[in-house]
Formats: sequence, C-alpha cells, structure tokens
Amino acid sequence: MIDPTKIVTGDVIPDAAANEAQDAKASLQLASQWRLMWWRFRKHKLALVSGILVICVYLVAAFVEFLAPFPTDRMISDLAYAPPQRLRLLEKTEDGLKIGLHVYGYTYTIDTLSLKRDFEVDRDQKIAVRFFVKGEPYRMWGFIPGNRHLIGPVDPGAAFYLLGADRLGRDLFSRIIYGTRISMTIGLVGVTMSLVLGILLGGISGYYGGTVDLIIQRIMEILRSMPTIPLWMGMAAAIPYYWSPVLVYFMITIILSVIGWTWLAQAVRGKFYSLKTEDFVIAAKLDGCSELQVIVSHMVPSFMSHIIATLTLAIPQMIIAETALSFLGIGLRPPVVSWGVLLKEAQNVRVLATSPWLFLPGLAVVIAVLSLNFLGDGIRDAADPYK
Amino acid sequence: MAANATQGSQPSVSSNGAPLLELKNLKMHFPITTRGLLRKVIGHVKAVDGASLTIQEGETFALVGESGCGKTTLGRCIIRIYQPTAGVINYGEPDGTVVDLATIQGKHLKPYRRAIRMIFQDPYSSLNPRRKVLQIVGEPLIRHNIASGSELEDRVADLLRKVGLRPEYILRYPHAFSGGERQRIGVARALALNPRLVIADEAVSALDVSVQAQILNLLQDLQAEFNLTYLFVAHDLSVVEHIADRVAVMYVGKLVELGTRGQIFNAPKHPYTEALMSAVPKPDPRLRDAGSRIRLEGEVADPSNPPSGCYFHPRCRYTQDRCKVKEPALRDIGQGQHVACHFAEQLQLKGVAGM
Amino acid sequence: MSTESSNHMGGNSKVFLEVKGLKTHFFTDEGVVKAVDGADFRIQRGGTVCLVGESGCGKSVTARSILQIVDRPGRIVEGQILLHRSNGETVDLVGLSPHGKIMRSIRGKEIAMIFQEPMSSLSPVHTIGNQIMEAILLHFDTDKEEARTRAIDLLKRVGIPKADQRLDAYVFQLSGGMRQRAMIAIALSCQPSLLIADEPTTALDVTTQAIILDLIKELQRDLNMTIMFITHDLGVVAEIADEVVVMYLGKAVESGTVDTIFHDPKHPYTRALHKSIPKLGESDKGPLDTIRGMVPHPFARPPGCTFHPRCDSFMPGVCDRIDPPIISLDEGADVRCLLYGGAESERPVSLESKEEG
Repeated sequence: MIDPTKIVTGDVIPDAAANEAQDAKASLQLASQWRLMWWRFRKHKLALVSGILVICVYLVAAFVEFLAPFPTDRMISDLAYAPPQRLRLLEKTEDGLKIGLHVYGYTYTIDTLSLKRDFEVDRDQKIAVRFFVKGEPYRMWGFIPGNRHLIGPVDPGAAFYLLGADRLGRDLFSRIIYGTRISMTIGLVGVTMSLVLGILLGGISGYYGGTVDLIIQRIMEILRSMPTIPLWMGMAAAIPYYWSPVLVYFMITIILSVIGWTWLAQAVRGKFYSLKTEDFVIAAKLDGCSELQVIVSHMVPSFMSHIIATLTLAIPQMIIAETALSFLGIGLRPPVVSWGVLLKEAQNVRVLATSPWLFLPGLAVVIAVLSLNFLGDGIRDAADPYK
Repeated sequence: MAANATQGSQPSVSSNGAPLLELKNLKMHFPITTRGLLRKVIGHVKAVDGASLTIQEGETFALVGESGCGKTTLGRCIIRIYQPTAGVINYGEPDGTVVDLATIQGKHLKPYRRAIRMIFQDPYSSLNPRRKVLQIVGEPLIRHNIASGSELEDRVADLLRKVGLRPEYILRYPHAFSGGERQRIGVARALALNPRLVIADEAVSALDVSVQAQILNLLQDLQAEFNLTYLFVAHDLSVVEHIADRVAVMYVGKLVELGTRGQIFNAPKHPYTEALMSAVPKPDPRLRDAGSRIRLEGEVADPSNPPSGCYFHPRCRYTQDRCKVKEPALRDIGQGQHVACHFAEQLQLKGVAGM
Repeated sequence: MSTESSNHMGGNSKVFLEVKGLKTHFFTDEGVVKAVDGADFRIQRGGTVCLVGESGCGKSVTARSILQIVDRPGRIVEGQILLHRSNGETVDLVGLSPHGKIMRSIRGKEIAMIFQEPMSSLSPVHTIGNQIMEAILLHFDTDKEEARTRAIDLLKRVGIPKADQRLDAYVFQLSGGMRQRAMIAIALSCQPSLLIADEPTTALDVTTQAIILDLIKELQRDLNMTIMFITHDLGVVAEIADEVVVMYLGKAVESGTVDTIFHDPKHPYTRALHKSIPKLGESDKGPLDTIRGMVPHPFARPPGCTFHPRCDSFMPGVCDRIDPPIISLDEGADVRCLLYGGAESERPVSLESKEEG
C-alpha cells in the first residue's frame, strides 16, 4: 500500500502501481482533519514515543492496586530508611547456579552516637520474589476485589524494598505507584475545569468583543498578575482541617483552576477574534446560521486541535503545581499519597546525605511532565495540517 | 450567452420595470476609537460616503476602483454583513414590492439572503477546511430547511455538475482541490438557493490567469442559464471590460463615474477613470511607446481624512480652484452616464481606444 | 524597440547571466517537489528579462536559486548559474556555498533583489535609512556620514519626497507605493549589476504599479542595470521586457524576444495563455479561450511533456512519453516542444528501447 505522503513527483509511476497510487491519493483527498493530523503526528518520533509513555503512566495510575507490591500504609518500623534492594535472578548455591527471583534482607547496627541505623545486605536472608504473587487483598477502583500483585515477596511479611524505605519503613516503590494515580488525575480534573471556564469566558470575550471583552480581559489580567503561591496558600489554608482527603483533593483542583483557566481563555479568545473575520465564518452567517450555530459548527471545530494541544500542555502544569503545593505542605496531606506529598519527606539535608532514594518521586514527576510536554508539542505541531 | 452590450443599450429589465436593487446615498462610516478603558470616537473611516446607483435585473454591474475605494465595503453593505450608517438599499421583489434592506435587522434578513448571495475572493479562506464539500454547499439548503438527507446529496451533486465539478467530489475536503476548483465550490454554494443577485467580491482576483478565464466563462454561462444578476466587484479593468454591462468607478468612498461599458471605456468623462485606464499595461509590446501615459502623482486619499471639495483634486491634471472648494455631485450628463466632476462636459478625455 | 537580437551561439560578452539546466528540488515530508526542473535561459547585459508563469511554475524559486536563498527543505540539485563579470571572470553560483564569503559579497553588491511584499521583506524595527546604510557599509569602505549622504541621494532618486526626513522613518509609516520605492532604494544602494524583481508590483494598485514600473525603467537606463523581472501579468511583460522566458511546472518552455513571444508564440502553452486573457480595448464579450484542465498537482506530474494533458496540439504516443529537449530556433528563441523537434533524437523516459525517428 503506497503511503500517500511518500509519492515522489516527477517519477513515472508504472501502470501496475498507478491504480494504487490513485487510491492513495484519493484517501488523502477524503482525509478529514483528524486523519491528516494523525499522519503528521506519526512522523514526529519523539512525540510518538512520549505518547506511548504517557499512556503507560496512565495505565499505571489505573491499575495501582495490582501493580504496587504493598498498600501505602504497610510498614516495618525497624527498617526505616532502608536502602533499595537489588533484584537478583541468579543464585550461587552449593549445587551451582539456580534461577529464582529474589532479594537479600537486611541486618543493621545502630550507631550509638547518631542513633542512625546502618544497613547491610544480609546474604543469609533470602527473600523469594515472584510475579503475580498473592499478597494483601485490595479492591481495585474501590469495588473489584483481588489479591494478586504484579511483583512481590512470596512471604507477604518479608522485607521487599525495590526503591528503599521511607522514615516509617514504608515501601517507596508502592507509594510512588499509588502517588501516580493522585498526581496524574488531579491534572485532568483541574484541566477539565479550566477547559470549561476557559472556552466559555474566552469564547464570549472573543466573539462579542466590546465591553464584555474588556471586562473579562481585565479580570483575567488581575488574576494572572497575582502571585500564585501566596494565593494558593491562602486558599489552601482556608480549607477546613476536618474535611476528608477526597474533599480536600477536589478543593485543591478548584484552587488550581482559578488561575489555570486564564491561559486557555486567552488562547480561545485570540482564536475567536481571528476567526470572526474569516470568510468562511461570514459565509456561514450568510447561509443562514444563527450565532450559536456559527460558533458550534464552524468556529469551535476550527480550533479544536489547538485546544487539545493546549490542554495536553496544561496538564503537566497542573501536576507541577500540585507537587509544589504538597511539597510545601499546603496542598494534599498524608494519608493521601501524591508525588508532592512524598517529596515533602525529602525536604531535609539528612535525606540528601543518607537516603537519596527518597528523591525518586521527583524523577517520576520529571518523566511524566517531560513526556506530556513532548506529546503536547507533537500534537500542536500536527494540529494545523493545512499549513 | 449574455447579450453583446453595445454602447448605450440597456440589458433586460424585470417585468414591472423596477430595478432589482437601488442604492440611495448609502454611507458606511467605521468609527475610529481610542484604545483603552474608555473608548472614545475620534473620527471615522468613510469607507462608503454617499453611493447611489441602480442595478437592473439580468445585467452584470461592475464596481471598480483601487484599494481603499470602498467597493468591497459597498458589496458587503448590500448583503448586510455590515449595518450601513445611513442611506437606503431598496430591493425590488419579483412581485413588485420594494423593501429597504438597511432597515431590516437580525433574523428578518434571512429570507433576503436567499435572493442575494456572495462569492468571496480568497478560495482558501472562504471554505471551511474542516467540512466536506457536501456540508459546505449544502449548508444554505439545510439552514433554510429546503432539503436534507439523500435529497440534499442529490441537489448538491447537481450543483457541482453545474459548476463543472464531478458529483463524487461531495465527500472530499477543500484541501483536495486547487484554487480554481475551490472557487467553483464557492460558486456552487452561492447558487444553492437560486438567488437573483450574486455579488462577486473580487471572485477571480486571486486566481491564476488561465483559471480566471475558466471561472469567467462559467459565470457568464450560469448567468444566461439562470437569469442571474451580478454585482461584480473588481480592480482589474480588462476583466471588467470583458464581463460587464454597466460599470461604476469608485474613489475613496464615492462614485465618480457610472455608465455602460462602452461609455466608460471608450468615452470616459472623469479624469480618474481616464487615468485608471491609462495605467493598465497593454499586453502588446508594440504599443509600448505609442500614445501618452497619464501618471497620477501622489497617494490615494485617506478615507478618514479626505481632501476638501473634490476628493480627487490633489492628483487631478485638470484641477481648478472650484474643485478644491466644492464637492461635485454625481450627475446625469446624458444617455444614462453619470459623472461627479465639475468640468465633465468640457474635458476631452481618452478612452482605451485612444491609448 | 530596444531589444538586441541575441545570437545565443556566440556573443558571450553580451551575456551577463546564464542559467543552464537548473534543478531545485524541495525535500518535504510528503515527498520531493521538483519546483524547478530544467530552467535554461540567458540574460543580456543591460536588458530586461521577464520570467512569466502561473503559480507553481517555479519562477520565484529560480530567482532565489540564483541568489542561493532557497528556503529549506529546498536545494539546488543540478545545473549551473554562470555569472559573467565585466572583467572577464565567470563564476558558477551553484558551486558557491550559500553562506560563504563570495556568495555574500555578490548578494547586494552585484545582484540585488526586491520582493512582492515590502512589509514582510523589510525589517520593521529598523529605519529605512538604517537598512540602506547597512548595505552600503557592508560592501564599501566608507564611513557613516558618507553612507548617510548616499542614502539620501538614493531616496531622492527613487522619488520619495522629503528624503532627509524620510530617512529616519520606519517601514510601517510609509504607504504602499512609498514602501516599494524604499525597497528599490535599498536594493540599489550598492549599484548592483543585476536587479531581480520578484513580482514587485503585484500587490500594488494599478496606478501605483504604473509609476513603479516607470521608475524601474528609468533607473535601468540611468544605471545601465540588467533586470530580471518575475511576474504573472502579461501586460507588465509587454511594458518592460526585452526578452521573455515562459515557465510551466518548473521548466522554461519558451524563451525569446518580447515581440516574438507576443506576436509569434511557439509553445502551445504560450499561445493558450495569450488567448485566455481579456485584453483592454479588444474585448468582444464572447467566451475566453481557456486552457483545458488544470495545473497538475505536484505529486501527479504527467509523464513526458508535462503540458501534454492540456495541449491542443497533443501528439499521442509522442508527447506523453518523451520529455521535450530544448530546441533552438532561428530568431534566438528557444522552445521545449516536440512540435519543433526532439522526438527523434531523445530516448523516451520509460524504460523501453529507443524509438524510431
């Protein structure tokens, strides 16, 4: 099948393939804007890879209960700040090399001066590890019961810290996975609200212009000129302490959207302004379309692809905002687990010196944000296939 | 085929003799406002400043002028994209009633937008790139509740055939077509509601020369077949001479001359018309140095700050004191030719034949 | 008329620029677009050559290839552009690196270019004076005072009133005609031997166009400049050209003196072009003769002669298989058309054996 985008001009296409080429050309002509966008997007390798990565991250967020070896509150207090264990496949025994997934346990000595635990690998404690192991029971998404975990120790009480332990002896690997769900979805909820507000207000502003535009513009400017951290701190501090974590979660997203919508509204307003004078919009009015029909059928589809690109770039901003708030202690709080909450525990110098693995949630943030940004760039570049 | 228009002849008129369209002293002033919190009006761009003309049914009426003369604005006022600042747009219905379109607002304009349709200049921005041809050409039929479903498809396919495109194109998107083909789609869209008046707003200006010829022929064929009336807005005089029955010349918002094709091109009475025709390069190298060329000095006047008296006087070769003081009115000097010049009777101006 | 009939076999001392077999291709994601696919023509010293064609014919890309300013992903893939300097030297511009010293010294100084849209081709953040002086200071060893005086002179020459005040004006402060004059002034600041004008009057009103064309002709006379004028308007060509090159889909299909092109055109495309234009003063209101079909999509070029699907003189079996070579005719005209020869000597494009003549 000839890729319609790869036909070289000037070549004399032999008759046999001419029909194929015709079909390919025909499909190009029948291609809607989404198909064209996809063809362009496909060529952007980095964006494609990032897109796959983003899908993987969201899959992780969907299946946390299955993917994490332990629930977030499972702890072995003796093993606080235990370093990460190496996952080993081959074992040297007296009978030669054996294949079996395992990690080695810890022995520790307490330094009398600093009261710090010094951990060492104890090769006598062999902790067998298996895939699809039976572990602590859970309810996936709150209602599907199960107890299989992707990876975990055969003995559910054993020490298994792939990425180390935090100050209470909790498994960082599990907590990072659980954090994925909160951090990635808080971005979505916040962005959806920004979308609704942004399109509504930006659209009204751009379409009607005049005094309405003036007022909305000034409101947007005032909001944007406010320093965000103090604003968020103030709003977060106003959240009653007795609210449940879920409620706090939603309040945080609302707070994030308060500023976030202005960016989208600006883009939408600009687009409406430029589209108002486009010939095809005028033609639509002359054809008998009402104002609403013009907006919905003609103007909105024209910039839908740009909206999607803007949204994809707005999500990482939300993620970083939540991470920052929680890191400062004014966002989500324990027992809710997000990457920001996890990073809060890495706030002191001691951690830098002795337990650097506690920074790994930051790496998760970087991966998620980078891949969303590249994806968003790719979509934005592909968004205008009519260039 | 449209009748050959010889000098002074009138094209066919509607059965009751009333013109299809009559403009009386039409004005379109766009306010210039200060930017900032309180928008104060500090002046006006007088895009159209008192235009009066009549268009008879079945004729091709051309509106020519250079950039900023207001011809596009005039066309858009007639089809009520804009609300005119002042003046009358009398539209003559087939049954004889006359309606002033300038006084009609909002959704009441919808029935009149069936009879008056527009073809736009830019084939690339006048078609919604996100919609199929079926939706683009079919939109007017849908919005006026004329057809839907398979009947809509049939009618759109029929329209495409009329403009020389294959019916199976209804499923394609605009990006699959060249400029000329897109313009044909635009023509099909304009014809969808069986209009009486079609305003061609520089409809061939953005096309290649060879494609232009095809579209001009198409427009003439369609006019004969459907008894269309055209208001042809253009700046290319050769095209206008080819297609028009009557011509009006505009300068900075005012009509300076109006007459039949023969009158305007062979016996112009306004110095601007003469200069305009003199400036058009003739496609024959042997005529290069023959005859004298009139070169207009200076720039086109500013529509927000026009000169006193006759707007053209700073650039006119024949200007006298009177021209600086008194604005000439558009007056009938015989045989239907109108000129806005104090000295129209005295001046001996050259038409295209003399150049 | 001022044309000199060119003897293309000899008389090389009169030839200023020679383009031979130029091919400039664009390597896009969607495929290779052969924007220029065989351009051959000569420009006589002191004369005006017009490159005519419709959109997609490659005339703009040809001009940019000469100055080596073809935008990426375009590239000159084949051909020669020979610049015959008055001291006898010949330079092949294709062989020069686009960013190299020699090419940069040629640009502005020996070959200058003016464009269609002054607003987008002049810098909006520099004054007119700055832009003129920049070119002067770049190519000549003078000081700012001297450059400023020269700039004022230039503005007067191109007819800008109050030149010494206008020197400090910005582009957006000038009207359309004035901007175009300013662009001409900038182009002429170093007294180039060749001025390439890429549709400089297309965006202007017809009255302004007339004045600018007059100005260009006057400056050519005064400075003994060679001009290559690109346009799609045959009227403009008739006004100013000595020689004409007609382009279609990247190839020069006909070239000759302006009189020949208008009164005895050889190529079917040129003939059809003439018949399809309404001419002022000659209109009879009958239908225009149109050229059948449309310009082919760049990805679907016809085999053989690219014009054959639209040609009234199409010869089946010949025109759709053989790419016409350049045939030199008596009056100094060149044409690419199998009607005038080439069918016997050329090997067909497809992979079959040689045709019998």
